[in-house]
Amino acid sequence: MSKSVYLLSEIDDSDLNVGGKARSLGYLIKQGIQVPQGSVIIGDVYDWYTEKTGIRGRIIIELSRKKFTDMRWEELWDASQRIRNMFNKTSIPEKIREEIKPQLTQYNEKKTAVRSSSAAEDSGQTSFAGLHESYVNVSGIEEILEKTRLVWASLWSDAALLYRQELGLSVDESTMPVVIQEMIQGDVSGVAFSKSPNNPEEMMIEAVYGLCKGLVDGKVEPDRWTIKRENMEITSHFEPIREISIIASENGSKETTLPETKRHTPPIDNSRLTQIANLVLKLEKIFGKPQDVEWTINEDEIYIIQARPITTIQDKDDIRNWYLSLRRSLDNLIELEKRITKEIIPEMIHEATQLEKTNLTQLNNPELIEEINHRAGRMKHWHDIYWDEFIPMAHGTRLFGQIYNDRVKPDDPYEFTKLLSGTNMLSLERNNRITEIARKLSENPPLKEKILQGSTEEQATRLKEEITELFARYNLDIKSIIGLLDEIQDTEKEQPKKKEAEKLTEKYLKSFEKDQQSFAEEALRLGRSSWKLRDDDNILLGRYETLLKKALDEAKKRLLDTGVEPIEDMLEDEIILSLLQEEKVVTREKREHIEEEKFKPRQLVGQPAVPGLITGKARVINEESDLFKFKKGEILVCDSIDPNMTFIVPLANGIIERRGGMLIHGAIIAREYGIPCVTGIPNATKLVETGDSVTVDGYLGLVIINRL
Amino acid sequence: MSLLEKVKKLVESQPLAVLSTSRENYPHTTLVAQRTNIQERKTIFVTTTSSRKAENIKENPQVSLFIDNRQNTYKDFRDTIGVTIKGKATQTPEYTDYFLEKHPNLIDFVHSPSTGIFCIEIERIEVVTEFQKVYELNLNE
Repeated sequence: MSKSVYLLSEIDDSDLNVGGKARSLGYLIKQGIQVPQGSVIIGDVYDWYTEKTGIRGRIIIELSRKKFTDMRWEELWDASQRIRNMFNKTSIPEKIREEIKPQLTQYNEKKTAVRSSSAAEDSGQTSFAGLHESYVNVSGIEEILEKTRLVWASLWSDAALLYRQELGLSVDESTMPVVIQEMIQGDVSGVAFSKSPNNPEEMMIEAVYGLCKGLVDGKVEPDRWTIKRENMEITSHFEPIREISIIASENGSKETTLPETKRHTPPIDNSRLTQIANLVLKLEKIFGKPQDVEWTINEDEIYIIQARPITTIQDKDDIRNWYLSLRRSLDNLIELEKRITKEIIPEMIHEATQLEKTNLTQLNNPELIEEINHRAGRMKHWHDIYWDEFIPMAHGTRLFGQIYNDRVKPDDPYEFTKLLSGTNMLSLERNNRITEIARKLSENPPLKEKILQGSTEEQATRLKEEITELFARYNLDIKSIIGLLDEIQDTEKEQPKKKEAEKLTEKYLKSFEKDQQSFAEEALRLGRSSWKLRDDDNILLGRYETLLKKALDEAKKRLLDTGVEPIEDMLEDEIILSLLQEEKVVTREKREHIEEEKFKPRQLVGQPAVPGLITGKARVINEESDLFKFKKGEILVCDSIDPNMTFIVPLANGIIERRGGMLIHGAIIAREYGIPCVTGIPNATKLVETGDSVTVDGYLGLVIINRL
Repeated sequence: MSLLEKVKKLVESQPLAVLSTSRENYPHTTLVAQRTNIQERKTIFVTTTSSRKAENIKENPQVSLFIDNRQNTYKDFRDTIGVTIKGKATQTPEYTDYFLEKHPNLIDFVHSPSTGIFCIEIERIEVVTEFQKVYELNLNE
């Protein structure tokens, strides 16, 4: 390689592999705009590193697990996380280090920013902001190299995978140049829009004391001006209550209170304002598009930190935007957590308890229909809240996972889940209750007999009520349930190993500096809370599903009484219509079956959700009654483990799920019990049959169907 | 494209295959020129009658044949398809012309009195795609 690092000021019009950001920064320098000094590590170095270390081939294998179109968002995150860990764990080979280090020595004593400069990103013409990572306040060459690897990894971020088509992302072609820039510790900073989002005739400038971070994070409220583009006339000036600013510190930045004089003075005066306004218009002219600009002032010099086109409001129907909105900061999640635990969950419990009081058998048909509609409405209500509040909350686990992986660099990118265990999840509590009852019955056969006989004796009635409550969802006779309890009574599945979790927690906390301890602890606490909620919210939502199902079951029963035989998977509307018209109404075509190929699968690839290797007989769950046929030691094969069927998990020696993801309910529970588990096997319940001998390879995410 | 079509396309496009035979529990692998018709369940290959593989087949006609399209780059782990064919091999001169249609360059070799034309009656096909997805087709079922 001739040269692998270039100064930004050296970038010319040739086809050097420097990426969009570096090229536009280089262009600004040529136009006489002041930007912080910097260099770019060209994309060829990414190619060299990924070839030399075998990472390129590993990415190919990781992304071949499943077609993108078959992947859920959670699975994209999982894949991205595993790729990130490859980069995080693989240092840059000596030969490459020797090549680039001498070209970066000028940054050794300085604080720098390490930013992505991919081909599609931030070229000044298009904006794909936030798909890749950037790091600020990086100290010394070693840290620059470390962060460079993470920026490389972010070529494969979940967001990038989501926009892979627009980006033209490909393992064979895509590359990632990296920009290293000196940090300018501004005395005053801000952002500017050359066209105000509210009024295209005006531009908007915001300014704060200290670093721009305070403004971007929303911690410091800025002074805000609007200015007529035509004649630079100031049309408004909003003055906030100025109290604090964010300034540079040893480990990045810190909050500080403003001295009295600054509290009463805007961060910039009018002449400075006009100067910035002119600069912003110049940038718009250079790039030929309205610009969103980040600027800072250091020792009276104005620097442009970033300039990118103003992102027009994206297509609201593009649900990917929703997914990206899930990436939230720790502070944001702490707020959300408060709302969920203090308001939403208590309300959910209260309402469900009220609804459960209604005696369905006493309602006449119109009342029953009203009740069905009401329950369906409430379920939808909570379901929406689930999407809007609970799913974003689940991001807390991911956030912690990323923080853990960055600091600890474990071999297993899901090691962090071991720290989350044992947080008294509702479904585990319920499983413990079920096991306890199962033991009680096995120790006292006469009592079991009494329950089966329908004895009215107090102890038997009480226990029977408890059992019925635990299995409320299922319309099953007590005999089937007790059959299952017989299987459960002698399971010896261990609950999570506390010792290991404690050790890992210590290792994690030790990896942080003293002044970052509280951050580390808070991230862990939030990760745990998010993990627990992910399970609890499912259980609570399950209560509403059960409520609706009960009402529908009552309707089906009445249909049957009038001589109309309902079919297994009738829809809600169909049941209601049938009940009104007293005849069976089926409004849709029977569900399609997958096309059967002559080839039978021998080995299927999914996600390695819980490590372990086990072979056993498959029990496929196609309908609820299959749950009660489950025998201890079988391999559970199902669409997805919903919270209402968690009780089956301790019986299973292995788990195969169609639904994919490392952090889905089934995977969480399997992990708690240490049961080998593979998720994300398309058509799992169709491809495997009950009685098949199957092997679950939870290390590699493979399922093998053993045939002769 | 269905898996079956992919398999057909592969075996038709590849000239060569790795043939496994065995004698006294010792496996033996060699490259052979092949022509396969999945629909007819037949693979034809040629070898000299005194070769080790021909000797082996006399003792144990049960053979395995592997055909793939690897390019020997890292992309193979995503792009390669490998097909294993298993069945019984017998010497049958009737497929000479059929074989030569695909391999006209082997005319002298095929017409030599010391060369035998062999046919595998396919009993089973196994397919690997994307590194570790495995499917199988048992034609005896």
